[in-house]
Amino acid sequence: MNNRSIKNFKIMVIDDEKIVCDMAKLSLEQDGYIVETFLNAEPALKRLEEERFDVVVTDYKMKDIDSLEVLRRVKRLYPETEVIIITAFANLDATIEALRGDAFDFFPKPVKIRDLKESIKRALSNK
Amino acid sequence: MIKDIIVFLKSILLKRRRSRAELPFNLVFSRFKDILNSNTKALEIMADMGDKLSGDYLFDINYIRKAYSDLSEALNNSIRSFDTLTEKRGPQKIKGFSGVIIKYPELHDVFARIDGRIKKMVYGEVTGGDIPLIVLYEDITWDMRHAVGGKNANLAEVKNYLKLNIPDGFAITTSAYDEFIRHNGIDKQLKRLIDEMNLAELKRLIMGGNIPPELDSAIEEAIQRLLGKGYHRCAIRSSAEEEDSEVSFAGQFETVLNVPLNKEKVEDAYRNVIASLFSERAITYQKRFEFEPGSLRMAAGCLVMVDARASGVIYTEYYSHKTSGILINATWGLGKSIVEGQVDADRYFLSKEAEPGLIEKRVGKKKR
Repeated sequence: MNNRSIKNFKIMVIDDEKIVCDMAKLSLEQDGYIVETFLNAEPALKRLEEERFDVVVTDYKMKDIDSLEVLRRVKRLYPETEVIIITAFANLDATIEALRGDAFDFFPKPVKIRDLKESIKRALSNK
Repeated sequence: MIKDIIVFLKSILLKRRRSRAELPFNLVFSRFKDILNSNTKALEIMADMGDKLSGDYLFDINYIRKAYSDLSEALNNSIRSFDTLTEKRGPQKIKGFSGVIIKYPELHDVFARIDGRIKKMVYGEVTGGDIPLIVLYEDITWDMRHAVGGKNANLAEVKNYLKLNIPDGFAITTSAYDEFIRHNGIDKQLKRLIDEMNLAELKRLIMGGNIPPELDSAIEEAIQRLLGKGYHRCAIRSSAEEEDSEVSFAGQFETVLNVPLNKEKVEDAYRNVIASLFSERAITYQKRFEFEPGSLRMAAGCLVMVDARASGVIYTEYYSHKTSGILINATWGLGKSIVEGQVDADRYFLSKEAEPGLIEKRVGKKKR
């Protein structure tokens, strides 16, 4: 984050609950990030094909695509983009699978927004 | 004089002993602790929910559902313990029964009403997208209870966790109900027909409705599976979203017995079960418990028939006219006539204790 202003960092949030997207967008934009939110993974992945995002925050369980599939496809497109997974269905297997799959971080819901912001900062610290 | 004092003291001590025998001190103390613990737990859950609402957290509907489920359980436990603390025991006879008397039955009614309303709000947002149209009993889990309805969920729990002998079968989910109602355009007329109490027309639309192709195939597949196991007949049972929960809906909806395991017959019985959601009696019952008629969704259970020598109904928490305990009604053959109140069944009333004791038995005048 040394050479870039925080304003240049783009964050994508994918969650099938609007309230999660809205709250994440509101609080991350307050810190100056550019935030785009998606209720489904498929349109989010299409958007990613058009433009690179620095961090993708995605729900673990979504209606259309599994978040681990999102993780794989994001990494295939942009290996340097970090993916943070949040989930209401936290279990050890899911955590291990996510971290093995190269997720940057994994949070059970409810997520403390401060913790999520810290994680995003860490993810961006080498960029 | 001293003799008089001794007699007086004896009378007090004996009186106390009798009272303790009615409700042992360890039970009173344990229930008192339960009330305090449940109350503390309820307050902690509410404080946690307040904390999550502060704007410092990202949370979704699953958190709200889990938190409310825990809160509801804590309050329910608190009320049950309060019942024990305030109950009266003795020779009182109410409507033919003697036994424990609940002092504040209104608490149960108020709790059921509020609990029902909140659950409606919390679970009302579930969309049918993720819910299959048919779920086999062995695959039903407790978190599917709103999709398969209370009766199916409870039976599946008993089958899958307690491993009791429950007939084989499958659930036709609330998602299937939504599909059926939408497919036949009933959703657009439902509110108007209920408002006008034109229930005959509503029944006609349901009974004449087509089963959506995807549901039709799913039912056929599930039937073939049961036929393959050597079964030939089934019962199609109602299992509405809130049925057998805090509000029992006992005897309100249809059960069709002895249905041949044939797709057309099963689907006909299924339509009958759906239609029973809108009978005049069922609508009145829903209004009484503050469910908006038309908002409740009907799942159904298809269970293989059992060749019953005798059958019955057990109320493990029987509250009526301030009486409480376990009530068993039994008769020869199938139990449907009991549920519908058509038979003078045998009645057994037992105390609800670690070792239930028979308080009263009455053999009904019934035919084999």
